[in-house]
Amino acid sequence: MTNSLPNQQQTEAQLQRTVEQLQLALSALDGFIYDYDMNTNHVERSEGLTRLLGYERETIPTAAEWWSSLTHPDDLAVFQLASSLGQAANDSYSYEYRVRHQDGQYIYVWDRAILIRDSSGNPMRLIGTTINITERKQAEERQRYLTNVSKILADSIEYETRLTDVARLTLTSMADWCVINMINDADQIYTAALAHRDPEKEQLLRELCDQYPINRAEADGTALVLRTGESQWYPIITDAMLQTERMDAHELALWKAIGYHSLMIVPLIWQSRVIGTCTMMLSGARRSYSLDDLGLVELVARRITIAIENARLYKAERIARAAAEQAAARAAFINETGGMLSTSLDYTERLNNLVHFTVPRFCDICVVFLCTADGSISRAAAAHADKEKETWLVQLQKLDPIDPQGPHPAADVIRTGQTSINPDVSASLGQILAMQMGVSSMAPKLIPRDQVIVPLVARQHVIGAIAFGMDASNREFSPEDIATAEILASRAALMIDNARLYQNQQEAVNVRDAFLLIASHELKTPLTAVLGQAQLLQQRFERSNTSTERDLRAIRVIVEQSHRLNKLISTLLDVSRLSQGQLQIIREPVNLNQLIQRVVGDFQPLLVQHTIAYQELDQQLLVNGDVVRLEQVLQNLLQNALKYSPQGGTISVTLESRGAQALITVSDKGIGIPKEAIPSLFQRFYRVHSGATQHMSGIGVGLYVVREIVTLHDGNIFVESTEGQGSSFMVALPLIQAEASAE
Amino acid sequence: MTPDILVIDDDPAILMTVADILRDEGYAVRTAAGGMEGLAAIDDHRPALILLDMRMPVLDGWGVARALRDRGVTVPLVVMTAAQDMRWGQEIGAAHTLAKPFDLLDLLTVVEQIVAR
Repeated sequence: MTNSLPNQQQTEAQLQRTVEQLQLALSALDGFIYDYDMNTNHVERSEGLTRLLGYERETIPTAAEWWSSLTHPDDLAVFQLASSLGQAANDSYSYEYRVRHQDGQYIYVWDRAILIRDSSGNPMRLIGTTINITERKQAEERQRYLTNVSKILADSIEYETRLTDVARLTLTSMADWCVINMINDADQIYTAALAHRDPEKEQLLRELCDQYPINRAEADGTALVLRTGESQWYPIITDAMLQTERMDAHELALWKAIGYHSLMIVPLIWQSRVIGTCTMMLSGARRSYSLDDLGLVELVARRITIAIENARLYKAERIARAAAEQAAARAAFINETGGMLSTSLDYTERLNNLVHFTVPRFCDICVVFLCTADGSISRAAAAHADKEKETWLVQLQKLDPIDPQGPHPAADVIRTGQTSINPDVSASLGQILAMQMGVSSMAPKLIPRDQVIVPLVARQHVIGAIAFGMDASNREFSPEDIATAEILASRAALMIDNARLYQNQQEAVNVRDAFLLIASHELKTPLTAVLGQAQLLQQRFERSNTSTERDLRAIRVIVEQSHRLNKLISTLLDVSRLSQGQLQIIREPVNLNQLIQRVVGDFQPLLVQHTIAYQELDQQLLVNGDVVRLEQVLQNLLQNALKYSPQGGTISVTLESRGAQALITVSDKGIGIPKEAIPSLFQRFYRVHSGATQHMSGIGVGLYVVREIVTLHDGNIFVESTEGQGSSFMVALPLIQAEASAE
Repeated sequence: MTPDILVIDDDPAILMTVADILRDEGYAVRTAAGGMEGLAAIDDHRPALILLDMRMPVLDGWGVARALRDRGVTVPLVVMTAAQDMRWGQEIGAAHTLAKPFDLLDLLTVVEQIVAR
């Protein structure tokens, strides 16, 4: 052991020098040196301790445990490490942790130590330095804070909840309490977020914000920041500063409870406009805000502003997009109903489709009420999301109509012609339903919770009403829904009106056709007798030779006119059938050459001033057609040619094959057709009006019937005409077999 | 033997006209103002030919044709109709269809052809 003494003294001297050097070095820093003798549990600390932590050197215990008691509880793990020093391979240590200042605030220290072992290697002394690194730590925390704020704001869609997160984040390092005020669209200031380190005091802070809102007229504080858009920095708030403000006892008490010491208020500015403020307060007296802090908070404020505006833009965009999508869905819905309304001719069926389309997409209940011819109101269609209730509604349709002067809400809408939004119907409708159904228990269940009744208006007349109701889905009609309801109603009304007009027209057409059929039958029956008797007389005269030429001519006129009358009746019947698509073509192979010869031959005895020239064709042209109807076509064309060439002359008929078609041409050298009349020539009841034709008889259907018959044969008809020089009508009909007919 | 022709039509003017035309040519003609009367006339004596109107009250042309078929009576039928539908005659298996109003010569030609068989 004696050998060891000089060594030990040498070591001690060395240590002493080291300590002095360190002391010198530390004088430039905020820190102290310690020397911990593990054998005696005695710690020797240098002068810097008082400067660092406020404790008087003389008064502090020398035991190592005292230091542990100052250490922040969360950081004690460091000393668990220290307890295992003996096992450490490297005898140099470095820790960062918090220790409590005399004023109760924690400061960050950097502790570096060297372990000294005795000759047998057992830990003997720990010599170290403890330096205040609070500022560095704060700078790091600021950076971390800023990073975290950015992170929070980056996630921000619902920025208001994010603002609370930001406010809460300030509590870890930047403030003891924080308030973020915002200005809303109505230019009112509201508290968007607040946070206090102490949850109880946070309640008081909320009370302060709620009860004492920002008064913009105030000379300083938030009001000033809002006005000027410039940050306000109050490193120290004295009681006197608070007292000078007009503040009642309760407010002052709240301030004191919440705590105040150092304050920053920074504006949130977006495009030169102050949209809010961020207030941060340190309530402990030990620390005050620095200009660095202010710079940091201004940076945070800028980020908050950007996040808020992004969120607002996003929200606005989302609302706009949602509105657009809704509008598109609505448009699609309306379009679909439109398609539905035009798919069927029977409007009751279409209304049924409509109500079942709107339920449940648009509403839970839909009922269409229609004014009937006798003035009462009937239920025309009904749908309910609840099938049992729908059964009841459908039953209602079969019951008595609704009294148009009665209290039924639909009757009211029909009377006023005004859309009724959510009328109070529970009493009136319930009573009516109960009375009509004879079952009082079901009636209240059929009353909608929210409803819109829209009048059905067609050509300025209220023709009914459509009621849309909500039931179990608990939806409500928005203003857009009401607009949709009105569009649906206008379309339904238009559809009903059109369907009714169409029905009326159909009825008129049916009546006309029935009349024509009866008329033709009824006209032809007496005509049969007239013609028969006339011909009987004719025959008897011829046989008896007792008649004069005048007698025979008289009879002949009766016979001719009977034939003419018959043709008129037949033509009218044809027109009626053509317009109904009822004219039927009975097809068989028709030899056009023979057909023309026959028709022209029939005309020959009747000709006086005219000649009809037909150059017979060697070819046999066959078409698949109705021989009677094709004869009718040629007869009509020849009659027209005769009629419109009053000066007489030759009418030429030609037949030729043109590719796969047969072409029949009938040409006259008559008065011709004015150019402007040609487009209308084949229209029903069209007659050319010109000086030359004004005394000509006819009902203007001949060419219409001709064209229709030709079209039914898959053929075409054309006309070429020069007024005063004549007309040519050309009928083209598809040939059966061009090769076979060419033989 | 003079052929017996039965004319069935609910219109008395047509009955008279057709009967007169045929009688002038030497036919023996009976008339019936409706389907029921027509059937009764057949029961008495079977005609060589029936000229039949289609649209008649009570028993129409189709009914008469059906009744004849049911009774196994095979008498040639000539349909006289004001409708322009020639298929009616085909429907009841008529020998010919005359569209009202018909020509005297057409009537006589058709009757002559059928009775001559």
